[in-house]
Amino acid sequence: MLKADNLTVTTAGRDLLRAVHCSIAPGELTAILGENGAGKSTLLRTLASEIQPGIGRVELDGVPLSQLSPIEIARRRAVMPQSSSLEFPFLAEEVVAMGRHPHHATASRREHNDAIERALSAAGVDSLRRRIYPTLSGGEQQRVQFARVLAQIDAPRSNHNRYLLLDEPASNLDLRRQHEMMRVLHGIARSGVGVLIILHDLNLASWYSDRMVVMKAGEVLIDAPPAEAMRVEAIERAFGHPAVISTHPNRGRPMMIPEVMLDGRANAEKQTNSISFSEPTTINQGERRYV
Amino acid sequence: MNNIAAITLNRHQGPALRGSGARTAALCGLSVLLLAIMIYSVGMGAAPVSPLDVLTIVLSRLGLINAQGVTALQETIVLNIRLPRVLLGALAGASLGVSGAALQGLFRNPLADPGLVGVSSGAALGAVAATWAGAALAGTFGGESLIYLTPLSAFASGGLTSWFVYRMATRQGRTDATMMILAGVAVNAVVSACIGILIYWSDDQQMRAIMFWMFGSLSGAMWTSLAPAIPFMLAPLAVCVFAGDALNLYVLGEREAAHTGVNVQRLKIALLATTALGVGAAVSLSGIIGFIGLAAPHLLRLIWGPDHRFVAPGSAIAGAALLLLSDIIARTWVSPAELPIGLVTSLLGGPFFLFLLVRHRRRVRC
Repeated sequence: MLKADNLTVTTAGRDLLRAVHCSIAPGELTAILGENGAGKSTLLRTLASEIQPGIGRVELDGVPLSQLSPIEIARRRAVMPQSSSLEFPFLAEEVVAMGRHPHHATASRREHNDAIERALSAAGVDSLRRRIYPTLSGGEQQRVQFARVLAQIDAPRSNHNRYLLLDEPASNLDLRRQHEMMRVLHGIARSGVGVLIILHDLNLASWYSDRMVVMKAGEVLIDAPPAEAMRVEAIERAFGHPAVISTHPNRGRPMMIPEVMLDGRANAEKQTNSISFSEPTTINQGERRYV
Repeated sequence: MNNIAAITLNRHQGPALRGSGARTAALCGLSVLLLAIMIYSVGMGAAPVSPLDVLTIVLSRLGLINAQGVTALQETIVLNIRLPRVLLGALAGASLGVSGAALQGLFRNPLADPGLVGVSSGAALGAVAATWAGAALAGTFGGESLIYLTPLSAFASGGLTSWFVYRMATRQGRTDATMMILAGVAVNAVVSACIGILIYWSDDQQMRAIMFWMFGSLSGAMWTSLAPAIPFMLAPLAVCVFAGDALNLYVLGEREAAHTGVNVQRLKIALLATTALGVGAAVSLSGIIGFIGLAAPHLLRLIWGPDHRFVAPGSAIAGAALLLLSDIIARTWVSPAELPIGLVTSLLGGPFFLFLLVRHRRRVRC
């Protein structure tokens, strides 16, 4: 269990997190959601020991993080930050191989190679392995970074629980790659790894995660399985946007359809094009007066 | 288990020569090339000595063979005049080359160079200030202690500059290349002004000394000042080789390195301190010699890839070779006089830097 207890993080007099309790269980895929500035990244970065909480503490399987060495933690917990900037012409597979650094002393050559191969194919970057990283597109770089953390968390002989934290890993991916990544993460969670992922897409969270943690203004609003979390009132309160909850026609899991409000009202059927275009025209005329 | 990247590469040889075998061969080849340049460089001059005679003199001095067919004059010229000069050139080149690689790692940007970011000129100002203060202090403390004053002062002010530029260029673990170069420009401007003021106050002899540091020269090489500086010049090499794995992760990102078990703070301090030591020692003995630290790592990366476990030792050897080649040009161009070597490296290095900028811009655009 990677456990955050009563976390409060304050920067410049503002509470980024307020008394947050959150735990990641091995074998479970947990998704963090919430509007911009809700504290999602702050929570993940506190769990990743990048931010020291003002109050509260983070425990890795019952041991406070401060009592473990960086390398011990790195063997049990991998983190994929939101964006990476690499100016040096490393090959994609060299970047993936760097994920093996914490296992230097504990794994054989063969195990390293196998882990790298598994990571490359799981992340779907086998064909990119000989490409130079800085020349890859944003989405390709994201998938290579994904392969790197997969290679880091790959330690089948380890006696410890392992955890994988990802900060919006799907932000630059196309539809197919998003679902491939979620499927891989689901599989990794089933193999016993505790996975925490920040997502913006409520439906991806609903269809693939075991638990949804929805945040607002530095607090946890909802912490429940998708079937419970995906309710209209809760979603509207967290995101400030009206929504309709339906069900996925084939999978049966809840599905969110956002309301479209072109005329400032929630009912899409009543609006006409002429209304939505009339307002900007008035504004333009008003501006012209001052030119 | 220290070469994970290379293992996978051996099985999938691609376009670039990035396998560990190719890299070992490259290091050996470069070493042989450097040795040949050193022997040639020792032999050339107003009184030429053939490469064979150079080898005979050096090996006999080491007690490996008996000297035959060489004159005492040749021996004196080689051992007391040319060899210290060539060794200083090789060591300063090695130090600047590997410091360039280390600074590029620290700034996480391949455009860093001890000269461009202001470490060299900061160190030179320290050295100049030390000679000035030295003249006054010699009366009270005696001349002996002053041998160390110049390199220590160069180290301290070089270290201070690189720390300053690093702090200016880095925000929340992200280094901004533009800020790094601009801060370097500002540091270089202030140092030029300070040195200009010193020139304004100088007599003829002091002016000569200042010229020495501003434009670089190997002509002041002596065994006595060279020997104690060797460990300092090679300090950055040790960090890059022992922490090569960590440095590779560090250029991927500070957060990425920390999450993979690297002690980032310790690595940064080691890089800052050892580059200041290396550049400070090199500058205090040979003045400002620019662009070696930029050119050597780039040439290696271009062919054999950016792995620091290879680029660092490679840059040391290539830096030494580049500096000695520049010295050969400096000695032959206006012979029998000689050009300050820093002018030669800047003349060649400036266009090289422009080439890199154009290449960088092109890559960013597409």
